[in-house]
Amino acid sequence: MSPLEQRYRRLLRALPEPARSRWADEMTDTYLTATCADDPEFADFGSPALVDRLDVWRLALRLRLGAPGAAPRAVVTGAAVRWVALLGALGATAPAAIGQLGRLTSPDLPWVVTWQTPLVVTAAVLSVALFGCLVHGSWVARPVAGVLLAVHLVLGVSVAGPVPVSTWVVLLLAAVPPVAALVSEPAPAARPARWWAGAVTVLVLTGGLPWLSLVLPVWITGEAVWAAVLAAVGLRALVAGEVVVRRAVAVLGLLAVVPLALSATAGGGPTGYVATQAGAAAVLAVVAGACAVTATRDRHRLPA
Amino acid sequence: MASLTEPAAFVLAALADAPRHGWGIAEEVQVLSAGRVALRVGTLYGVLDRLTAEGLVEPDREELHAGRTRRYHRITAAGRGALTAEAARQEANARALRARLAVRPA
Repeated sequence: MSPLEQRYRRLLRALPEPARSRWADEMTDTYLTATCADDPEFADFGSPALVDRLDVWRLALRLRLGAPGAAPRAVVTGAAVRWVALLGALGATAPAAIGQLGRLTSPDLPWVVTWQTPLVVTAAVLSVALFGCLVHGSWVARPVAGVLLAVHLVLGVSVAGPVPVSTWVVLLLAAVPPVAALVSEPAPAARPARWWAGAVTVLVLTGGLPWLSLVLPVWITGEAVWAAVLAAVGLRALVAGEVVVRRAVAVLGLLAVVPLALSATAGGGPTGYVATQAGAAAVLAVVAGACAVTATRDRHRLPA
Repeated sequence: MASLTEPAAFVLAALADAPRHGWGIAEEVQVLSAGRVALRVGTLYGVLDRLTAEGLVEPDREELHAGRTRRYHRITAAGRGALTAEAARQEANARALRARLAVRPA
């Protein structure tokens, strides 16, 4: 076996089973035929080109996310990643829309404008666009997700100085849906109308529930509303036994618990703030934890 | 049936006249597309994996070449059907586009 063949075989170990045993030998032969046709000595000193490496890694990722022919476990993973993208994008639409609607409808309020403001507006518009593209399975979802991710990174890095840990968690939360959208194959959602109805419901709840603090001793934040929505989706998935949705709620829920719990332990704030944040964190932690445990157990029962 | 992607259609077309091995397919696709579609090996096997899973392509025979087995692939009857449907779809599109071009602006 030539050094080049060894290098190609090592590269092809990135492929998951059953594709690796099905294709690795043949792919090695094809690579060697292609690269050594004009230059037989290349077999002794050559090495896989960067584009070939990227190409194999892309194939490996696609197969792990349930491309046709992949194992049932990979198919479930791929579907769960799509759900993370969709549900996470849905969660980002309400704060984005409310923030920008507020800016448009109350221009007389003292809005702080910094150099980041255009980026914040761009992120808001792209968040809503990403949700729409994902629901309808448009190929535009990937470019939108890429730009959105870049904007979030710039906004995150520009928060100068020693940032509190919750800022990083919030950024991570913001980055998860676009990353999930980037790696999953574009396909329309099963029931687009229900996703749009869900987005409108979350928007109304996020915009409306905080007004309860006028009459009740509670202080409801957008984060708490989203935690309640995630918990409701998770509970439904637990009852219905949907393994894909449970995995998505586990990922998004466990991430969303952290900023809630941190803000609750930090204390302060208006009347009822700590209690509401802590309550939302506790409920979501229990539901997302149950989703994580049962989804992991069920996943191991699927053929790898 | 969902329409085939461009690489998938060219892979099926490359196999329409004879079974070929991976590199043979990649070369034939380049010839068929007049050099426009150059499949990378990873992409080619991603397409082959999908077409095999969908029953449009199947393994043909294996030959020993330079100490390694070289597998040939052949198109199935379902694969011919899919390629025929794709060609018809593209023909219909081309006809519609030409018909528009024939209309002179008023």
